[in-house]
Formats: sequence, C-alpha cells, structure tokens
Amino acid sequence: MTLGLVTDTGAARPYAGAAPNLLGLVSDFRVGALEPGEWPDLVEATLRRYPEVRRAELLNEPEIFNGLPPERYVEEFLQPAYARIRARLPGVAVVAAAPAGDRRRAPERFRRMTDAGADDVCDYRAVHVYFDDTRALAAIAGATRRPILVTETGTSDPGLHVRWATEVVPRIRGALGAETVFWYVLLESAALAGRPVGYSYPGSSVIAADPDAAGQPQAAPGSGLYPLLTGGR
Amino acid sequence: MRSSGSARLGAILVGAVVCGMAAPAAAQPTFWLSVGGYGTVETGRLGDVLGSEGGVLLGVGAHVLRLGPALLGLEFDGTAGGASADLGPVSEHVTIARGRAGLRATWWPEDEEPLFVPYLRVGGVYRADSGDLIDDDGFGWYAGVGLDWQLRPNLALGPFVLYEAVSLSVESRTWLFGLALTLSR
Repeated sequence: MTLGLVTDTGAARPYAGAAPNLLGLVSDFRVGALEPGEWPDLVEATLRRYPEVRRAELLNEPEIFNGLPPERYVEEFLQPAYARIRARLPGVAVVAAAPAGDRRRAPERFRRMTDAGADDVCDYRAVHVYFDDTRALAAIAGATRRPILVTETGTSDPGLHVRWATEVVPRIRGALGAETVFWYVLLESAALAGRPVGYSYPGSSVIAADPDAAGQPQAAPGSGLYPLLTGGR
Repeated sequence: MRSSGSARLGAILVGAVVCGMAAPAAAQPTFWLSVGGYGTVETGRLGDVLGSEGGVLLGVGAHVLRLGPALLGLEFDGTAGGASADLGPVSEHVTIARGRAGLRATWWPEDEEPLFVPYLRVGGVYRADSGDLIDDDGFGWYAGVGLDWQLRPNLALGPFVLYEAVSLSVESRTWLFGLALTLSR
C-alpha cells in the first residue's frame, strides 16, 4: 500500500486495516527527485501517520521513479532511514526497495545494492518479478543473505492471471524462498497513473474498475483470478 | 551457389522493371492517389478498452510490374482516426494514426478496361494511439481486399476491407471497412 510522502498522504487510510499482509510503501504518488537531507524526517512522519504498518519498503524502483542508482539509493536513502527507524520506530521492519522488475536488469541492480551494503541496513530485501526465468531468480536469491519479499508480481495479460497465480507464483516463491508474494495490482487505472500509459497498464487488475449492477466488486475483464480467489463470487 | 542464384534472379527482376518489359500497359494507370474514410471493428483484447474507430485516409501508390493479368504495385498510406477508450472510472477520446507500406496486386488484364477492378493488399503498418491518458504504439501487418468501380478512366470509387494485427501493449486485431476515391494516371 503506497502511503504517500507529500501528496495524497491520507489516501491509503481507508485501506490500512483491510489487508491481512500489510506492506507500507514509503513512496509518493508523484514521481520526482528527493532531497537526502529531508528524507529521514519524511520517512518518520509518514510511518507515524500509519502506525499499523509493521513492514515498510523504502521507495519504489528508485532508479526509475526517483533517478537514484543502486549505490546512491543505499548510501543516501536506505542507510539513513534505517538508522532513523531503528532509533525511533523499533517495531517497524525495513524493506529495501525493489529494483525494476526486468529479467535482465533486476538481478544486476539487485546485486549492486548488495555490493553497496544494502543487506547491512535492512531487514528484508524486496524484488519485483514480472518474469518467469529461473536463472534470473537464482541470481537474485544468491545475491542477498536477507529474507526476500516479492513486493510486486503479476502479468498485464488478464487471460494469463490464473496461470501466473497458480503456476508461476509458486515457482517464484520457491526459487527465492520468499515469505510473502504481493500481486500487482488489485485495481489499476490509467486515470491515476499521472502520465499517459499504454492500454495494458490496467491489465494487471484483478478487480474491474466498475462494480456490478448490485454495487459489488466484479472480475476485471478477461481475468479469472477474482472468482478463483473469492470462491466463485 | 545459392546466393549466386538469388543474385541472378534479383538482377533479372530489376532489369525487367528498369527496361519496362513488365511495366503496365499505357491504357492502365501507373500511379494512384486515394482519399477515403473508414470504420473499424476490434476483435483483439484491445476491444475490451477501445470502441469502434472512425477516420480518414490518404494513400499513394504505383504499379511497377505486370504478372500475367495482374499489376503489382507498391502502396503507402496514412490514416488519422479516433475512438473512445473506456478506462474504467473515466473514458477518453484517443487519436489513432497509422502509416502503412505494402504491396498491391490489381486484377487488370492487359488491354482491357474493366468497370470493376479488384485488388489485394498486404504489408506492414505502424500505429500510434495517443490521448491525455493513453500513449501506445506498435508495428504489425495488414492484409485486405478492395474493389474499385471505374467511374471514369482515371477516377474510381470503391469499398475495401482490411485485417490488421498490431503489437500494441495489448493485442490488437482490427477489421477496417472503408470507402476510397482513387485518382490515377
């Protein structure tokens, strides 16, 4: 759940108690550069707004959304925030940001974070997995001594949702020894992207943007995952 | 040996075109320019999001080779259209532009001036969709047929239908139905 740093800081509030496995993403809804000097205060303020968050991932794909190479992310953002959380919010586990989920670049960026000392300043490592490639997954698993959380996975082809959830996710979980795997995303909308996007952008959605005639959630067009997860409702 | 044979065949074809041995006869048009309009039916996954499209087209082409009763030509055209995209909580008008390049085989026996001239088309297409919320593009292929009614020796009007498959971020399989006015010389 994205918590928002300076924009839409209360947007996640209605959902904070709804999720059985809550992961707070300490990141903003708008893309942009961050000031390292302000970062620890920003993290603390954000987490104090959401005291129910026990695991906090610090930024989302920082090289993509914040222009931060792995080394700079670890030194200027992950390490200072980890120190602040340990000092002031000891009950919150720190999850290092996942690099972008590309099968070629994710393992290399993940390794560079480790080489920069990421494992020493977090409790979990995160990875986004939009690929089904055992070699890339093995490279990631071998690049950290921290437990791994898959904080995003899924496919933008609704027709493949069920296969991804029932066949690919178990493979990912097994290859990484991942404790928890988060599907991206329950409901996505091009209108909320903040920039023009491709038609496939909402394709990972499990739930349709519009409720059914009775006002209840319904499956996203072409996806069989929602009825599978809800027992046919 | 294989490359040598291919090179020889290519040289023969090029030579035939350059020398005009297989060029269209004088009574038949060499160049054409088409304008028209079209509508679409989307049968791919894109149809979950995008409604029917309407637009206009502008095309040019030239017959370069005669193969028996058929004229083989190169064609280039562009289209500009729009459709409504249903993006869940909102919808928006998306502008759709295409550029196509391909081959056209026209059934026009030598020394005849038929009233109706059928043709086949096949080629490659680039498509770009844009709006406030959508930005998507991709390459693909098309194939189709048309029928020109010769109103005058250098003016024809006729329907066409195209099937187009484009690799946007979601699968696009589009039927295009249209009407084109063609000037030729």
